[in-house]
Amino acid sequence: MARGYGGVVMKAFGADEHTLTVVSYTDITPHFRRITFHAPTLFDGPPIEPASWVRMWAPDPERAGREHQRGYTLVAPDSDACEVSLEFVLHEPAGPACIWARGVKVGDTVQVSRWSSGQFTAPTPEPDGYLLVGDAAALPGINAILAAVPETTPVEVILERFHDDDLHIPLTAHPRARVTWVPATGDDSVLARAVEDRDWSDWYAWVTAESAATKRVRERLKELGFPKADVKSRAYWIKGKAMGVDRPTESEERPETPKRTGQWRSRAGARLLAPLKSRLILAGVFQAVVSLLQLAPYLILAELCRRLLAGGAVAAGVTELGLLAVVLLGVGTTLAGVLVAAMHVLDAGFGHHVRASVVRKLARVPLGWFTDRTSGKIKQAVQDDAASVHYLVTHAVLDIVAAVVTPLAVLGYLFTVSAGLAAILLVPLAFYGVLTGRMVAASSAALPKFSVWETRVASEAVAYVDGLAVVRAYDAGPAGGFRATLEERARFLDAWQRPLGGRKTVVDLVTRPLTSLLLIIVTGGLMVAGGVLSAADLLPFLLLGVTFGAQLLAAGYGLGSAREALDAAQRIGLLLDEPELPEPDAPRPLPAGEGRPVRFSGVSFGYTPEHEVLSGIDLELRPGTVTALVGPSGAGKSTLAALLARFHDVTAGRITIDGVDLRELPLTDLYRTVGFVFQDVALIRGSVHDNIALARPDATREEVERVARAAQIHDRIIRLPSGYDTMLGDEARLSGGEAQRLTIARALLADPGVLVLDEATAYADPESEHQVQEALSHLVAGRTVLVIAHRLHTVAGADTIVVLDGGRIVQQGAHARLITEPGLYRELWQATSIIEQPKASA
Amino acid sequence: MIFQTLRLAGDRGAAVRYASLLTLSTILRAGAMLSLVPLLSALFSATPADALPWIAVLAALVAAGWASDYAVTGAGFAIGFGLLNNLETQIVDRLQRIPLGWFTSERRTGAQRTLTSSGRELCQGITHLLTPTVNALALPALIGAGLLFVAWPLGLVALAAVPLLLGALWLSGRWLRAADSSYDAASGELAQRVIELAQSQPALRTAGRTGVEGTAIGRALTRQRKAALRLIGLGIPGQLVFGFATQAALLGLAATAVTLGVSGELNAAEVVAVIIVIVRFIEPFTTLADLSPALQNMRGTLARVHAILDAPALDPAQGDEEILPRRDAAALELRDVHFGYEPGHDTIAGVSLTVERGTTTAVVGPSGAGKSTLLALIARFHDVAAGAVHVRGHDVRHYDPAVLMGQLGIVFQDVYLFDASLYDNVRLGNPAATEDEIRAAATAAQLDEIIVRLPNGWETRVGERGTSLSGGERQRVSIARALLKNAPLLLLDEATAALDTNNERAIIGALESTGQDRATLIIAHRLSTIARADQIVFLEAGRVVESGTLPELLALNGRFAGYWRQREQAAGWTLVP
Ligand SMILES: Cc1cc2nc3c(=O)[nH]c(=O)nc-3n(C[C@H](O)[C@H](O)[C@H](O)COP(=O)(O)OP(=O)(O)OC[C@H]3O[C@@H](n4cnc5c(N)ncnc54)[C@H](O)[C@@H]3O)c2cc1C
Repeated sequence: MARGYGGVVMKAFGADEHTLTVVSYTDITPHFRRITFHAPTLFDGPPIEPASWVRMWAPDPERAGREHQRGYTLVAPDSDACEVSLEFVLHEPAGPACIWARGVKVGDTVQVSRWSSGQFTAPTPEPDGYLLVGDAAALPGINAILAAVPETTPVEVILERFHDDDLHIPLTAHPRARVTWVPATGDDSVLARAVEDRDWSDWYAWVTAESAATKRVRERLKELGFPKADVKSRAYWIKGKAMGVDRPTESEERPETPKRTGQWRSRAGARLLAPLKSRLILAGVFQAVVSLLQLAPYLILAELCRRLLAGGAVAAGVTELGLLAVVLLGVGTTLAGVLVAAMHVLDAGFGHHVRASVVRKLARVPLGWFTDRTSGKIKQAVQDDAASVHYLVTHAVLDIVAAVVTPLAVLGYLFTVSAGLAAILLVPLAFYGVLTGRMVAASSAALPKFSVWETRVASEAVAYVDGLAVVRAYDAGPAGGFRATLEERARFLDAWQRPLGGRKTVVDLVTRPLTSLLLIIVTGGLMVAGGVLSAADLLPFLLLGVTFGAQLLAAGYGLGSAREALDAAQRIGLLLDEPELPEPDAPRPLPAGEGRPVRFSGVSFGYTPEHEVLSGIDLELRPGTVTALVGPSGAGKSTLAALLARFHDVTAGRITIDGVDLRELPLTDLYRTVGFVFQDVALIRGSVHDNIALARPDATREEVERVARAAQIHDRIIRLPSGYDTMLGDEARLSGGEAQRLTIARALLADPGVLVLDEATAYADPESEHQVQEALSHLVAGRTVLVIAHRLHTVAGADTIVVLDGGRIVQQGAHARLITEPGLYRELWQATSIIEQPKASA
Repeated sequence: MIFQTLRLAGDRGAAVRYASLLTLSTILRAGAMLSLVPLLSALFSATPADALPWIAVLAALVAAGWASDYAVTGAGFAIGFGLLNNLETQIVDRLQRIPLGWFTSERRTGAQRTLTSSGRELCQGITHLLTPTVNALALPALIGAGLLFVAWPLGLVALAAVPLLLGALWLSGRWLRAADSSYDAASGELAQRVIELAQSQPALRTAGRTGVEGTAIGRALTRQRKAALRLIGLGIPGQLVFGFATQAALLGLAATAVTLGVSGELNAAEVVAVIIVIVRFIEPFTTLADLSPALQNMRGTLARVHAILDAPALDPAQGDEEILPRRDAAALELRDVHFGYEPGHDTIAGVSLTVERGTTTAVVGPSGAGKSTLLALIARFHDVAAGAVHVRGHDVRHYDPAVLMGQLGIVFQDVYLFDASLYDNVRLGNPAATEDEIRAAATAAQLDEIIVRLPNGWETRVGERGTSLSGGERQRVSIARALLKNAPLLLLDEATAALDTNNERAIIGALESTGQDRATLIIAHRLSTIARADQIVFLEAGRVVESGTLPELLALNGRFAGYWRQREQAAGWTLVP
């Protein structure tokens, strides 16, 4: 069933067609009808994402045998039952689609195609909010989007109401959605005007309304600063002339809106690359010139051949031409070299700037930002992503320009020689287009399956290799199926790739130089034989025209890697956009003095607004005393301790040191005053001395040795190959307990007034537990200490014990008192004491 | 490399078919190219119509070339898919027999990558890389040889150009790779520094040393910048050398052709025809240059595959009869066992000990003494360098690996759980176990409490590597697994990470009580565990320094007694008195 020219093209590219059969329909409002179809073949295609749509062929109500293509959104796909619905606005005046929907009967069929239809794809990174604009026809799509947007992301929905019933069309509930209906007045800018004048930074807009209205909204969003990439717009219908109500759009004065300059995260990569932009363009232009220069020798060769043919072997000027060719070759190659060198210099500077910016960023983000996950991000940014950007600057841009300019220049030139013969060169390209189009259509269904297989095999392979010891010991279990998985995947690849292989070969055969050569010779030969073309004019074709097609295709590959590099730049840009720990506007230094009292007043904190980890904490830490945090895991102990070091800022209440709010304290004062020793130990590559003196680089060797002794690590250090000058990592490795004592020495040297301690009992080596304990005892003496206790009895002597449960303080006091009261503390103590009491020696 | 790949496929017949088709296709291409000489000579002569028969020849050759290339692809796919199946089986087979000690974290990642993608990459490599590469390599030489018949000096120059161009290609590849790897090394090094920097932020911020100027990180950044600039030195010659070489070859050949024309050996039309063939002659080299990064990848893939296929394997000693465990023998006997990860550096230096049936032996000692290595040797994750490990009367090397594994229950420090349900992970211990047995094992290992707490109870998935459970909880799962297996010899590495979990002692008790005949070798850290052992072995620097019962060793007042006292102190320590 080919439908005109468009149909032929679509068919040629492998468009899929599906027959849908009506199973039921309901009128949601008198003007909004939902029709449910049985769709047996639709689910074999690409997965149905939110707001995926189909091109439906609606019969012409007047002329039998004609059909009209109209877009409709797929709703409520059910792959098990093979059912899907479409929702129709029954508008007036009606068109073919809406007339069909009005007269529909169960059992009716309709043809649809998903060819080249889009859908809603959640942008990455997740935007700060979604702005969804449309009308009743857009609601099926908007409803699906509302269901896909995370519950914590705000959504603004602006809808144009053409009919009072429209208000009764149900909307997907979303906790943070705000819906505004604006009545249609006939003016196409009502929607645009309903978009608030405010800072929309990092929002994403989806606009699917009437054509003119969509255009107005798009203009409005542009004014508000929305970058193109963050506006997805598509006209869903066009106001027909029959309505006769459209007024000139400029009739109403639109109020001037001040230019807003918000900032979108999606532009982070572009911002990163902005300083390079002009130079990259310049380099591209230069490369275009070089590419043309590199073509010149071939033209000279053609000219040389021409003269040979004209004047016999001893034609005039052959030597001169040869020399000119040599010179041009040399110049071209040298310039290309210079260009690449210049790009490397440019890149070295830029790469340095990027990495240095990352390093500076690291110094400003809150300490709570650093986790294992962020380590991965940092590594990716400074290593892999920086390398991708490096490739972009040094190669990709130049390659793409060369790959585009060269064949186009060749084609242009050949057209001037003989337009007819040059046109023949386009034949293989046309074939290529059609064949690949079909191939893509044929394999697009398998592509998602392929990536599912890849992830599945990859994760099973990881499990298999990591768990090899277990696999062998038990010789069964989930890993036993790994072989089966591999075999199944091989079968899938075979079934998918083998038929494609034949087609790929055909594509390759069509585009290979030999084929173009044959085309040129056959056509050109006939033209020469027929006297239409002079033999000499065939020369440039034979010299330049043969590889032209293959070159043009190569441009595609260059684009792929440029795309990758832009993604990489985006990731780096995002890292550089991470929010920084705010420096106080009016810093208040700490008053002079020795002891540092700390006070938590009404402190609450949550990583997300919905979920509080700590609530209403009131707590005082007196100078020179030890306060221990105990409680079941997940009670919020670590979070509470981290707040004191300003890993995060509290969401309510305040924390003060010596009466000064942490947030008002200059950051250097904060870090100098609050020290911490945690379980995970970070040593840097450098000497033992440097590691201990990290926080006080000017410390003398005597001072370093003193703290090392106090931390019970001095004896170990002097046994290292070069004592305090031993390079850690290169010359020596320290065991977990040793590294821990080294960090205790570091903390002793830094000598902070307030100390946060994770009294880690999971020592890497129990043998040195005793020494670590001695070191800790030294460290806590005379400071304001907050300790997270793992084993209750180690903190039984603490001045205050704070019992946390579910983010609240449930008990507080000294051990002697708490143990006498019924409560969580006594329960915990009784549970552990059976186990923990050291066993009497036998 | 070509042969290596074909060999992996294993199917000789298919390989021969593929190779002959490929040869045919290359010859057809060369023929098509060479037919251009008479064709163009005629076309450019005074009587262009003479070219028509040659045009027919060219068309026939090109068409035949299409047909043969189509067949080559088919044959390539046949080999490719054969290879895919065959290779993956081979790799999995091999992985089952490689000593676990062989797996460094790097090799682990390599193996995972190999399993995931090598087969597919090599399979595709045959059709998309191998075929065009062979074509491009052979074509110029064939054209050169053909040109000998047109005009021998030209043929000679062409044949001489082949090694020149290949050499230039090789050199440029080498330089570019050297440049890339030095760049990668520099940025890898810098990344390492930056991660360290991130981890040391607290201390660095205290010192106000977070800037880029004059700090260690600043110096690393400068080094990286220099490395990027050094790329120019290697990278640019690498990019240019091949370009210069092709231009030189082109000029040399064109000059030869013109000279031949001047001397009258070729007429003008022939010279022009030859020049056009020469331009085509250069083409395959450009193809090779384009393919070379992909070829490089394929070489890397092959190297990874061979790293696994050529890795050492633990094979049972050859023998006719099957070796079965002896009921009456000691559960475990080590006889003067030596082992080292690096030659000349023994981690285990002559350990002898016996664990009788129904007894428990605790291995105690400072970290680095070789305790975990000892356990790994018993489970035959490595083979001993000298001496022997006997399990139930036979050298472990004489057992069929499956039979040996059947004798052992293993609970090691780094417990590995599969990303499956808790239930499945326990059941792994004995797939034939009944539901009741599985539940009993779980109860004994104190898993009940965890099951109650988890959202889906037994059916909760434990996450990748079991990460949704804590270290202590993971070990309890692994204990339940071992209990279910109920093997005669239990190897146990007491989890230090779990020292503060409350039910640890009860669990160890469970392990010790079930199965009266079972022998246990345990790396012990808790005093209570050590105290209950029938025999204590104090290991230091790969040697047994002291062994005996607790009273004996305390009375000896030697290394163990010192260790014991220190641990007792540690257990009673309080942060503030
Ligand atoms: C990607 C995409 C998805 C779509 N999804 C849906 C969907 O799920 N549900 C849905 O109802 N529509 C949807 N539409 C809109 C639908 O395709 C158009 O409304 C289409 O014009 C209807 O075709 P028709 O044959 O009924 O009217 P046409 O022949 O196109 O037009 C006839 C007359 O009707 C008027 N008209 C057309 N549409 C409307 C309307 N919505 N409101 C008022 N007057 C109108 C026209 O101005 C014209 O005067 C979608 C459009 C696109 C591009």
